[in-house]
Amino acid sequence: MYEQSNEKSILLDEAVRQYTICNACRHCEGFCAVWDVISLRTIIKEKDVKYFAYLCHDCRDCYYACPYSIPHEFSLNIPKINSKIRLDINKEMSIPKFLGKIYDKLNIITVSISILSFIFMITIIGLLRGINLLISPQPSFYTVIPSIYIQIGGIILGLYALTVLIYQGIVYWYEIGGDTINLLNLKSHVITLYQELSHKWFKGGGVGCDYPSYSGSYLRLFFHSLLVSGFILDFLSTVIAAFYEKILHIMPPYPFESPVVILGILGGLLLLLSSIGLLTLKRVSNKSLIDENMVQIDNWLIYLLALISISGFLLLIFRDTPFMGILLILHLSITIPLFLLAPYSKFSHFIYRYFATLKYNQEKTYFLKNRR
Amino acid sequence: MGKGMDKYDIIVVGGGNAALTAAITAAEKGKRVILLERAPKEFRGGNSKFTRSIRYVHDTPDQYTTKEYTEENFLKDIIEITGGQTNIELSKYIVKRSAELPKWMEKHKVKLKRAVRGAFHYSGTNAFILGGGGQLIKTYYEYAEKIGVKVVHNATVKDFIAKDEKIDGVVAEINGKREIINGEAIIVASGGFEANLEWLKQYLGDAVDNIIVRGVKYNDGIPLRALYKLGAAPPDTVKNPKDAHWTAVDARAPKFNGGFVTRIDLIPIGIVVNKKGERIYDEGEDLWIKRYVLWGRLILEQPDQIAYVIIDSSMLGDSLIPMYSPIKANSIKDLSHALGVNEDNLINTISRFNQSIPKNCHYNLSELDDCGTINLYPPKSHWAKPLLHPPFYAWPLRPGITFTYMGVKIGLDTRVIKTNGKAFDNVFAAGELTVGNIFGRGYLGGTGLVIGSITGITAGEVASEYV
Repeated sequence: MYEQSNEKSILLDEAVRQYTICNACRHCEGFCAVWDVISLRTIIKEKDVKYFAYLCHDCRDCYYACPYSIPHEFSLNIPKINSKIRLDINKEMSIPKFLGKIYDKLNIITVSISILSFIFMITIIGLLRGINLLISPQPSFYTVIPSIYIQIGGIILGLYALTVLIYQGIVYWYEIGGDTINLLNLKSHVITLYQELSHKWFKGGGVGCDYPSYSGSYLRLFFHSLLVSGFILDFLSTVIAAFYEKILHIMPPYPFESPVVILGILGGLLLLLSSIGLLTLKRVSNKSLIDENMVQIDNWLIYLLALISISGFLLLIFRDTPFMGILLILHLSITIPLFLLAPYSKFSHFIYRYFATLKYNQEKTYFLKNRR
Repeated sequence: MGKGMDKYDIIVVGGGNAALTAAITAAEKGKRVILLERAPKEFRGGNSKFTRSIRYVHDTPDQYTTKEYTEENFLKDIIEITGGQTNIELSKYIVKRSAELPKWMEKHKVKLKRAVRGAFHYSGTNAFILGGGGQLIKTYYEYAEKIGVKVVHNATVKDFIAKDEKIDGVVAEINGKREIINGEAIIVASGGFEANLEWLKQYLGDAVDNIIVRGVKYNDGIPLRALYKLGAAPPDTVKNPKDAHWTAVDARAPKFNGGFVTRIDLIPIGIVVNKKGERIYDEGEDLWIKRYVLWGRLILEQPDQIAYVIIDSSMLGDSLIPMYSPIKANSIKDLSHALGVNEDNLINTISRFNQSIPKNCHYNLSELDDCGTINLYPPKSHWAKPLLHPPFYAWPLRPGITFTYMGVKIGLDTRVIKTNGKAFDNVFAAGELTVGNIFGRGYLGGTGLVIGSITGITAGEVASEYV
């Protein structure tokens, strides 16, 4: 325990060292939000570097523009130190804290949860309703698992994930020096949400991001936007499906031309395409600019979203065959860990980025108001 | 590189901003261009990496600046800061063409920042580069290679192959192998000789051990020396070879390549004393941006080439904190011991300074305020504030050289001029090698890139016409 906190303070000290050099330079001002808020400080503290770590969207322009980057003897590597601190924040902010250990074994825990969910559902259905249900064609998903279970399960999982994530985000907000008045400032929230959804910090201030490598590019902006859109479309598809069933009393399966299926297919395609894009970029990207453990944690989310969309497509294609039951359970088994592990995985990144950006908008507004 | 005897239209010696603007200009005119950069790829770009802005003519405030800056004002500033040690025709030419530079840069993918933000006060004369010089260099290299410039790293040009008023090629050591490269015209943009300590020693003597070379360690002036050997003249505007771009940097900075982050901007806020505990010059003479280049030269003349800037705790938040931590003490006496400065003198200097400050002045760092000392020599004309509140903080200062001014004399077409008054037919110079033509002494922030770009573009244009 003692040793661990020591290690952490070495990491933060190193970040303070690097950012102090940055603050004596400030050439990167304009690339992204990090450099704007550095310009508002004379001294860099430990809580500042925790704030900068998630304000950083891993754009990497600063690294390649910097005359002090490795191999210069000042040895700056801002993208890497930020990713190390991000991993540290992820673990430290986990609620309850011991679940932060999940990050160390994310893949194996995810696979275990999937397998257990799969076995659990098969067993329950087999025991209660007969195994025949899973090996013969069924008219609807809901004959395999009654809609009420899927919906209640989904709502509980979703609410749980969102609640824990927001709670963790608020703890982070106070950790980086945020206060209650600004936490409740609606205008800042609107601006922040807009900036994040429009991927404002994926543009390098107008010269693109040096991702995956040395030269300015908008590829990561493109694929990440697709990923977010795909996720939102699939979420909408699910909400509309519930609306059809509960309010309009139209029961599934829905025809191909219904909004449920169209949005679902579109969302799934976007997720699949963007996953391939992001994984390809990551594969060719400069690995010396990221913490080694963070690479796997990043990949976890991309792979999981891709698998969810693939299993969703299989389900759609084979929904009139005897495989439907098994495929439905497979699809759900892959989806469950995404939400169950959301607060303790890469999934949580958006909430910390959100609160860091909220702080940025509050600081910027304050600065502009107080300048003559 | 393959075998030797490659033939190019234009050989560019150097790999910073001036070399790149020259190479890009010539390549855009359809010439076959090779660029020989001394440094390995990670350190390419020379001192241009350490730049951040361009000072340029704009008759009205534009998207990058807050005020107008006319040709007359720019020229006036140059004449004033150099005390007339400038080639006025060349200055006029650079100043005039500076107006087109922002457009040229943006056309070549360099992005300039809108308006002025952050903590720097440039009075609307300068436009700032997004990402600074590092981003500029990176962008230009990418552009140059895209349009076909052959870029070679680790290529040290050792000598020129000359015949009469012409140079036929260069002798280069590329990755340790000797190569001869032939070209129709040569553009030399290889920087000064500030990293060549032996050469500097001829002018500085033993003081060379106490200076810090802010610039890259690759600028050791080998091509410049080869040009002198062929009869190239130094600019007659440079009267003293010691004159160079000198600033005050932290004494703990690395000997080479520390760039600008080691600089100390606290001088206008506090006081500066030498080893004897005496103040050396007016710390508040003018806006810092007009005076920062003065201080390195001043410290060069002090005993052991060292000085200390001292502030008290009430001034700590008034400026950026430098990258190196201050030396801290709870009394002036303790501070003198920590610094190794004469105790009695320092106490005396500070108490006389404190007593000479008018009681009811209006301390304001963002303008030339009325807090000037009375009956004190040397005076502190602005921003004088008594050092009363412990702890006291000090940073040790050394003279930091960025680049030397003694380069080559050029004509308006950037052709290198010989000591016999004639110009080489096909040898052009650009960048820091030519800055001495404009600044025989003194300097104005943001002119290095402008001189480099305009001489570079001109050399590219004229050389292309020649071949």
